Amino acid sequence: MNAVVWRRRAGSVARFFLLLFLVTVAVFLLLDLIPGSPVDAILPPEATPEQRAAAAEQYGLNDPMWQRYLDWLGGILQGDFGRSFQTGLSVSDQILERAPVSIELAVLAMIVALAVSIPVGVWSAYRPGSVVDRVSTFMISATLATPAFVLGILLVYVFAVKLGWLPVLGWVPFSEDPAEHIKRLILPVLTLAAGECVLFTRLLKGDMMATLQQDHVLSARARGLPTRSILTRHSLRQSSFSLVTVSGVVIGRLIGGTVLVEAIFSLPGMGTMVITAIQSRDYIVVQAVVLLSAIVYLSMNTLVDLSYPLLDPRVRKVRTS
Amino acid sequence: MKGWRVKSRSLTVAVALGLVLAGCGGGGSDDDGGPVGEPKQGGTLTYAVNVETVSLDPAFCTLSFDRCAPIFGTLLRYDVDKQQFVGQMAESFESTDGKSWTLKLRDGVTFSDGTPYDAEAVVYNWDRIKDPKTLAPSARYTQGLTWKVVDPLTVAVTSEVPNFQLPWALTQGLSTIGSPKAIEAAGEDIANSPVGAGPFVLDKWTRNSQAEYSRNKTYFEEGLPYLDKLVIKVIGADDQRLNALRSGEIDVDWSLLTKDAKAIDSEGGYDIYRVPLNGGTGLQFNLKDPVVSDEGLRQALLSAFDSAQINNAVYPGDEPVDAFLRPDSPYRDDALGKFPEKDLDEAQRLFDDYLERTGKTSETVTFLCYAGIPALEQVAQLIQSQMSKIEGLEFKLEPVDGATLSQRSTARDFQTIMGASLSQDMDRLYSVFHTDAPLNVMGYSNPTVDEALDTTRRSNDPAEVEKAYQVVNGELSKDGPLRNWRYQTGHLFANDKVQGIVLAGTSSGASAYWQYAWLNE
Amino acid sequence: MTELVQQRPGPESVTEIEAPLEVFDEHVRPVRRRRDFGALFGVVWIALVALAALLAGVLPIPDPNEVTNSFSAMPSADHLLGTDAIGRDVLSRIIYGARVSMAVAIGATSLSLLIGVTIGMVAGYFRGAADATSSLFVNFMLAFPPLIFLIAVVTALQPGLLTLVVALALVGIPNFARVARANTIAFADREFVTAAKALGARPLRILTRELLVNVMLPILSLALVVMATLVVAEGSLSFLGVGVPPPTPSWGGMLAAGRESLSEEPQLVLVPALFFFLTVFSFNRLGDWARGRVGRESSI
Repeated sequence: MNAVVWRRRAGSVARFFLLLFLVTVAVFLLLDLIPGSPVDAILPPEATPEQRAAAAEQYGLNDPMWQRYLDWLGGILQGDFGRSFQTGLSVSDQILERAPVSIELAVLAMIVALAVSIPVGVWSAYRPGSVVDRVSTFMISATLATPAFVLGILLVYVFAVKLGWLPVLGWVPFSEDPAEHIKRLILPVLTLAAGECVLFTRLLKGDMMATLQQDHVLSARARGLPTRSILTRHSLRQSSFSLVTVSGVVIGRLIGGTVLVEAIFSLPGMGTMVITAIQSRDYIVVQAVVLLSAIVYLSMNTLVDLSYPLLDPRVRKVRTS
Repeated sequence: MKGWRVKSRSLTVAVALGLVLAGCGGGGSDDDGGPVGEPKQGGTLTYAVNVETVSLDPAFCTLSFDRCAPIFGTLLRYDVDKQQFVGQMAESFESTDGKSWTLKLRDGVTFSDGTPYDAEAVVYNWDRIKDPKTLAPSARYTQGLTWKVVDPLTVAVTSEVPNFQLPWALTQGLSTIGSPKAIEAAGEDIANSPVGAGPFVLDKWTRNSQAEYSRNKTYFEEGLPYLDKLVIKVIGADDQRLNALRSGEIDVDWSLLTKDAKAIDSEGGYDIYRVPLNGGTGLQFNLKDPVVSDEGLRQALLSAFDSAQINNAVYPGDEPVDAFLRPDSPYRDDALGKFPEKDLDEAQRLFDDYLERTGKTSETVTFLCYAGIPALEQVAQLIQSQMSKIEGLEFKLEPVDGATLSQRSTARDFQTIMGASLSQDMDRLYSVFHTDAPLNVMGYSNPTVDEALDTTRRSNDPAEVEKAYQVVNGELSKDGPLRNWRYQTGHLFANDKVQGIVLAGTSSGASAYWQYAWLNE
Repeated sequence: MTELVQQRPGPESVTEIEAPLEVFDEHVRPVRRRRDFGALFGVVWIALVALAALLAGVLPIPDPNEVTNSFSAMPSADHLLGTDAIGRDVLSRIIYGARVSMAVAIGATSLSLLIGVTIGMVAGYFRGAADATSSLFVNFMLAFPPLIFLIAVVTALQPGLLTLVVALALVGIPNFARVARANTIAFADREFVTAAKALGARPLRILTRELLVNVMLPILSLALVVMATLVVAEGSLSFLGVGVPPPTPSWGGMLAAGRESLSEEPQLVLVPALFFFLTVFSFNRLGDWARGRVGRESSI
């Protein structure tokens, strides 16, 4: 390794932290603009003036903003996200309690989306104009035009209200009742997966169609290799390049993206936590969640970038030739 | 149609020393008509409520009676049937002059960590509530009170002014006593680690999902609780809780909706328990505002107000509101005053008169209301449309979120606002409507009301107290500083198999003392 | 090895992070079809909605805030789409609600486009520090979870249509900035630009006279997709209760209110849902069609 490589790496690390810094400062400024203070959310209307003063003191609300920011940053650097104004719990604990719900939702949605879109995308690319292609194109347009909150409500209406197959909303922990847990997850996961499905299918189809026209695939066909092998070994691997790219971005976005689905189905994840936190001016929680999702988003982008060469021989060739 | 199997109790005030007031309005027997038999031991009861609480710190328990009472019990209990205070964790709380009170504790009661539930513990908890640093929501109750330990089982409480309504504080705000040793040990994690002497101990609390309790083996009441386990779930949506009851996922459902009570009753198989609350949700005026302080203008707005329309559209099944207190309240004497009847001509006349007096050609009044809660948004829009029938008046909505609303309410930064005064007890009216009282965000001041409210605390004569509250209701209805559109009734819908429910009222509805409940399975 | 590394985009930019997103844009390019009925439908539907929104005041419909005593009524001659929970005409509220959707689609997108394209073109043309700064800004916007950002902004500022339009415009900026930048870079080396430079044209002139026309084609097709996205975002916010405040009707608000009585009065949800669907569908089809056109033209 030489100096240039190191400088580039140092540069991207510096930018990574600069962005995090900017995001956290922006959150601070933004939250400061919101009318109503945490004191009003914590204390009942009849609170005494002494209590208000004590609360402001306790939460450092009397300090200037920069001081509060530095205190918070200092805590973060020591791995301490602070304590929620509302619940008095440590924010890390609260996140650890809520994150599994959001992550489970996001991961399941991702699996469902990939499970549907890989075969559909590959087949549509291989046989454009086939029934699969036309049905999927139609479904894509329809799903694309159905916002998550509309889709969520429609699913609830059809499967829960009309057919009565599934519970309306709510959450049952896996440990309590695994069957019920899965039943409650079906609709939220479908709602969340629909959007990703569309993205993946379109992407994969476009990419595969291009790949299938390439020389090495054409020659593989000419050599009479079985379709299955052509589609998977020769094409899918190359096309999965953009899929991985986008999957990374999607995962990064899902932390923010589950907000709506959690709200629609009243699931106790990070999304509903952050909405409640904004409403109750529990800024310390909002800051932590925004910071985390920014970290995940930025890291995913960097990781995806690093993983290009592993998947796409084209990139590898350029780099080594 | 089969008859309403409703257990209805009107909560009336009771003064200390076990004096019973003449109640009316469906106060009834405990039995629900079916053969019941002897209480059975065992089983798990699942109860669902609509919101999660923030903390199980005993100093925060006024926020959630449901979650706290099983763990800590309450010092006193208001017996809804007999309409009197009874000792619960404590033996008695008595006074002869309303100023010097004696709290007697029971011998041999211990917290579930083995430490004694004694006078020291009570004082420790109360001191903590009083300390502003604790940020206890019930700190208000400690104002004007001092206390000291007399002996291990006796606490002497002194009230600055005579107050025979004080026992209410010991049923809720000051009622939950936690183990001082556990509080010290928990430090900042107190919200999550409650240790009390109540009928149950907390096993597991999954926030926003459920709290699981099991029988406290050292609970002092012999043979209680009957249940082995109690699970309190949080299910936000009303229809979802109701469906959970239907599907058997829960045994008891908490509700404020009359239409749901009717629906579930017609299905059969459930007992319906009602706790009527005093006061309601409504339109509050800022009487210190230069515009809204005008009596004529306010009367014009009140005359345009149509609570029947609001109920029909948003709360079907609820009765229309024609005075501050509900029709079945013993404190209603309609001769002393009711809300102005809806009369658009009168409203216009009063408004024109207002314009003429002030030399204005039009007027704008702003209504600060909740954003993002569909039912309340609908109510706000209905009120706006009603007020807009007055020509020359622009009635503007300013929807804000809960925290902003609360801040501006406290700062009295509004002209009219969506507010509420709800309680099991009548004594809350003192804190809301007495001149300069802590919850009087309206800036309401009426000497007649002040005098009557003073009487309700000073007097130990039930008849006199009843008369005084009737005066308060009459004046509040005539003046309309809080024009409520809805009386609220707390409901518990219980599966038939649940027996022995002993009701409690809270500021948000109905609840129960679960140690007396048992399952007839 | 050194050379190879340097062949990759210049170290001054944050393209490492940006790259995947550009790839993502390039790839969502559908195959052209012979006759695009979807796009045709899109044009007609959007025109209808826009016209209705524009003419709402003169159409023979009841006042959207007029309360009647027939609550949650089914469609009838008096109320073609029925009434809502507090007795207001649903059709009228849909038409007035279209104003919010259109204001967001057109207002927020234009604002976003204006700022985004400026940033992107300046970055793409001057490169260097300008590029680094704008990349930083774009990544900053992307790193902020959009819905949380929107909820916080709308809660912080006075809620209302203007706040909503500005907040949504902010969210849309990165899309325009990235595409504008990529296209500016692509065209900046073309002969006509080099020629103009040689003739001594100032950067402002080159940017507006030479480059803007070429950059605008892909940008306009992107704008249609952004419109769809922002209409959905507005709906999501109204649905979460932080959108346009009552009594102003909006489709998202109608959905949120109707959801309370989904089992008894599903029409209160289904009607606004249908309008959302058709409108977003139309914008998407138009966007696809436009991208197809742009793709073909640039390949000529």
